[in-house]
Amino acid sequence: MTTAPCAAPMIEALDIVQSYGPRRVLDGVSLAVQRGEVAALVGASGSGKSTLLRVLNGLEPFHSGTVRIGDLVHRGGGSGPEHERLLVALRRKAGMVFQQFHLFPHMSILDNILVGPVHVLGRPRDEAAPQALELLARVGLKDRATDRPERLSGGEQQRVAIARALAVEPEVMLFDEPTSALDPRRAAEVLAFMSDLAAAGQTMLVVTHALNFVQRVARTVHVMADGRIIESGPPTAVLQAPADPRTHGFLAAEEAAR
Amino acid sequence: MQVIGERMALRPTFVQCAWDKLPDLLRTGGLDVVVNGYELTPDRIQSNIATIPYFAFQLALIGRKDDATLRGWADVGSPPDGRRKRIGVLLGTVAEQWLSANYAGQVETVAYAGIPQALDHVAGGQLDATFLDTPGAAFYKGRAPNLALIGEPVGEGYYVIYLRPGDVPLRDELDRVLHEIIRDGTVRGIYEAYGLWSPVQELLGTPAVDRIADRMLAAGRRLRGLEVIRANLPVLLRAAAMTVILALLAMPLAMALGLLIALGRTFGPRWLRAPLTLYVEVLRGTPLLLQLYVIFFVLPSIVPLPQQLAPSYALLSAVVGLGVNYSAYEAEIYRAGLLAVPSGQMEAAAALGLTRSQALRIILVPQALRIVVPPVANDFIALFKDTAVCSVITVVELSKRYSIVANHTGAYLEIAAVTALLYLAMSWPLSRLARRLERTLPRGEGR
Repeated sequence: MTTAPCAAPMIEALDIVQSYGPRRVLDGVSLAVQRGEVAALVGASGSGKSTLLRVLNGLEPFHSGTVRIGDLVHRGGGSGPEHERLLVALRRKAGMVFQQFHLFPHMSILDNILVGPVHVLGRPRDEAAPQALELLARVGLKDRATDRPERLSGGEQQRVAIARALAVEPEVMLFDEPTSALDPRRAAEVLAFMSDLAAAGQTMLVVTHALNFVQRVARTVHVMADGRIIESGPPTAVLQAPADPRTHGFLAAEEAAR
Repeated sequence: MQVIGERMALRPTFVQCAWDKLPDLLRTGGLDVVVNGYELTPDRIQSNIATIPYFAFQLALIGRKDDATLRGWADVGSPPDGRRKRIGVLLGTVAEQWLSANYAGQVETVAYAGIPQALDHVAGGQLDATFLDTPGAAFYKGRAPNLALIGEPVGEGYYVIYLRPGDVPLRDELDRVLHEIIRDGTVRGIYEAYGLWSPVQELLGTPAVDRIADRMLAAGRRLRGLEVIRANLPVLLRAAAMTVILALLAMPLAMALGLLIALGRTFGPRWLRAPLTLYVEVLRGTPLLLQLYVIFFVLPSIVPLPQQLAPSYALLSAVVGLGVNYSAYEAEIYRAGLLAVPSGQMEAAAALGLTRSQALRIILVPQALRIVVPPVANDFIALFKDTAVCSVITVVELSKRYSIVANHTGAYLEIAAVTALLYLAMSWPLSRLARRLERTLPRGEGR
């Protein structure tokens, strides 16, 4: 995959520290994702990768360090209305997809997708609806627009969740184990769409255990252990010839779990 | 009573209880005789027996000295300002019946359970006048400086002692003693000592007055079964409408207030949480009855009531009282509902770029409202029945009307059955609706 790298990275995390009590969940993590790059974040459960993702879009506070998305800079700590506005702006730039989908159960599929355009971007509903339907068509669910989320399979719900995040036209997409709650066939549907998205030039940071997907789609893979990034590089190098013994252990465990 | 007891060689035991419930206690055996200023009325002798009258009185209209629109009985029939007079009466009294017999449709009567409240409301302007017996008027005339007797006392009435229908020997004995103390001047002596003697008392003990109960009984016929139901169904239905109106106005108020309080306690600024907790605890921890008393009787004496509010103040107090009381319970239900929505929902809303207030309004509250449908519907039914408490502040809703009609007719069983059926007919659809909502509304994010 080739995309023109830009001077400044799209996402940048510098020396992020976050701890719960005595336990350091993030122990000085730094990471950069270029515009148009697909980066994967892998590692054993509890290594801090989900926390890092949540720090990036302001869902999780952190003690020290800096997060930059585009031209917005977020330093740890902070409170009050000013800080609140910064977080809203940050999240507006970073779309997020959760492991458990979190579709809004009291709304139709179409209304789920329209929440962003109507309430975040302030577009009139009538004007935003055709675009929302187009997005639904892209994820292959145009005929389910009027259904409630509970009527959809897990894979379909996750594709709607991706469409919902894309509807506000975020500059980067963050995926937090998007296929971990799905059976292999449903997971494949979701990963196929994510590959399309990557091919269209979307900047993405994906926390996942789907190493085949990482191998095929990611330009860079970061391996996390104990709150740090222990190894970064192209998937071919990192996944086939890991330099760090902990990466080796993680890959072996993943292989065994298959 | 002491004198009568001595002459009968009996020692009376005095029992204190709600004045308008005395006949019920007599009927169920809690009391043997009812003496306390009970008037001889055609309704009461249907279900009880009475002694000869021991006191005669007239009826007096008490209004405000400075009220130019009410200077005499002529103004009651045709008010100079064209506005129907609001007149407070004690429930089930000769005064109430005299008013409805002589001024039916020309005045608005408001039913009170006690004379002092009615007089206070005349003084305060919520009523134009109150109509009561002359001893009552004499006893309370000094209560407020701006009260005055309007026109001449009218009508006539008698106090008697009531007994259970089977207690004829006791009644005959009481009659004998009453005759004795009327004839030997003991009664006159007592009445003069209390300033209650008047020329109308001269007729006590005469055959014409003694037999007045028999004449009333001969004139009136007991209605029972379907007849009594048919005769009273219209007034019961009107009272049921009042019950519905109270519930339909109070519940939305309770729900709106409750939601705001729940949001304040869950997501509001820290300084707001303590006062809101106090609000909930005070309203849950004190009786609704007391809260209604405070709003209706106490509040107007602290904050002067705007004149245009006065006529509908009872209904307003009832709606506000019920609404505010139930808002405390709704607040707790909504708080539980808000906390029951999975945290992922607020995260997903935030991740989209919604502000906190948008996320609450668009995502969290609508889901919480769905979760709380069953308990809120349950509270609606409870509130619906609690409207009965509003009768203490002169609102005549279904159970108050039941009590009036049952006392008047003595047809307790029939009227109670109809009243219960009316309540059921109103609450049944509510339960059905609640169950339907519960089934059809989406249940929220599965976990």
